[in-house]
Amino acid sequence: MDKKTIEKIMHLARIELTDDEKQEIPSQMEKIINYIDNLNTLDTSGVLKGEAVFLKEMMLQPDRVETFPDIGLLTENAPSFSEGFFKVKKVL
Amino acid sequence: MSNIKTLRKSILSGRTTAVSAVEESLKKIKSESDLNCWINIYEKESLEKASEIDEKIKKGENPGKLGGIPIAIKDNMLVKGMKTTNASAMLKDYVSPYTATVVEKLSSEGAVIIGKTNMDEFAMGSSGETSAFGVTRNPVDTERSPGGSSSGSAAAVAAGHVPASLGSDTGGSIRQPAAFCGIVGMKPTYGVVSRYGISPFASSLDQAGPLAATVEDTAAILEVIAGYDRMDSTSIKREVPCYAENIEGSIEGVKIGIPSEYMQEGTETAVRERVLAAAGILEKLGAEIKEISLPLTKYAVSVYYIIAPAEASANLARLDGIKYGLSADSGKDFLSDVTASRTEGFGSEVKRRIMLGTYVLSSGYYEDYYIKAQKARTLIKNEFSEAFKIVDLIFAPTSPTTAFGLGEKTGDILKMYLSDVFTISANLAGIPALNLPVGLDSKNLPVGAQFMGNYLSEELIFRVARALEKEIKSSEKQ
Repeated sequence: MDKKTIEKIMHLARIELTDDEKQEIPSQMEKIINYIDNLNTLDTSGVLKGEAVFLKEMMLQPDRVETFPDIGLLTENAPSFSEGFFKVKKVL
Repeated sequence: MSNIKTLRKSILSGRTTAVSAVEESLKKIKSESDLNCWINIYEKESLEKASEIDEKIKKGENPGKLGGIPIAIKDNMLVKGMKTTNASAMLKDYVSPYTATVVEKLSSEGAVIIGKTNMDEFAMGSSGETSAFGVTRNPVDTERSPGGSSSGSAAAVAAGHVPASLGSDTGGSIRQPAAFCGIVGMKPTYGVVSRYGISPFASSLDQAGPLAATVEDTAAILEVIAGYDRMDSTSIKREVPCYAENIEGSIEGVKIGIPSEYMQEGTETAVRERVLAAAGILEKLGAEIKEISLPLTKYAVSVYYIIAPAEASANLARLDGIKYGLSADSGKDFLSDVTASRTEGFGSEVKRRIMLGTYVLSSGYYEDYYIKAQKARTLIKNEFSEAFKIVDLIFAPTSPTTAFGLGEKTGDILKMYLSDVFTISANLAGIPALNLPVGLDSKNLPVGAQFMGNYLSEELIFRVARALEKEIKSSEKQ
């Protein structure tokens, strides 16, 4: 796993690595990727993709929006919230 | 501490009170704080709740199925007004805005929530060592890991701090720590227990469940926490069986398969021996034991370490330091603040999994890894369905080893991931599985074996596990 790939993943994941992690994580990831490549020896042709574990007893329900009763409790955890908005630094 | 059944009888008969039970629990927790099982203890609230229960009993009112029983909750489950840290620096100050369905259900049956237990950060880990709040120690041998990720929930029960706890199991996080600590733990069928209010790790695999000292107590807790919840879109609509009531019974003629792939060289000899000895007891009790094969077992770790990190990377994307959680100031722009918050908030294991998940979902790799793993998962699921045409239950080691030493595997991540090899298939297939202690190895460490069953076969699993537990306990007494 080259430096460029690692940097791309770090950017996509919005994560930076400490110096120690930079020493360890890329080589560990490579080791894991090499291991999971054993899946290439499994023939999956003819298998439908994305058939997750859903049982017939799992019911569909109307997609309806409901208001959370204690909105104040949700926003209390925000580092900066005022007048109905989460405040961040200038985006544009 | 006594088991739930005994404690309940004592509380109801007035031989003890809920307050004394809670006091005993709190005393034990304080005297054994070096195990580091707990992140938050609700001393005041639990004593208040206990005295309410005692009042109810005095007035002749029904205190509920778990009236006055102290119970521990893994710290990834919300309790309104209380912190839910997920054992992460990211959420160390996060206050829950509502209560998880499982916790509501326990409370409404009179259970006393004693506090929140330590765990691997965001449930990512197999040893209890990735917590931002320090490692949890195994009460059986404090130099060893209690397993993970429900490390504190297992250790607290094994140490007798509480008779039962809740954990969550995405790839074995209830069963493996239960095995390492010598207690019972069950991951129910996917959809039996509501996930509402439980921090998501890998949503298609996550399932909460009970840990307790006995099969009967495990069943009693599941009976309370199971059931349809419209707040969880994958919740199963079905009446909850009386698991604890129906637990005793003959196991004559039950067909049980032992998969040869779980009994090979990679599994410690003592583990294999104890599992086979337990199978011998099952046979004596009238069960029919046969060897079966699950050849796709060798792909389970690969499938899991693609799907779980992929879902985790999506679930943890919400932690951006804006809406809640740790917020760092990069001194630069908005996006740099998001990156700085995530960099400071997440520990190394969480970063590793988010990066792995991001990689397998990224353009150019998505088909080769994520879609391939989804298809392999379907094949694993089908392999179990085929097996359950031949046998009623599968019986196998829960982990290839007994509890390993603290620090023993932290240097070799792949080795750590491979320690999950026997537990993750049940999550991939969505089937129920229960760990039962089946004896000790030569170092006196507990060996755990698991029963895996077809969808919604919890009652059968409990009945067979209870029959085996009874035999093992009576032979230990002799």
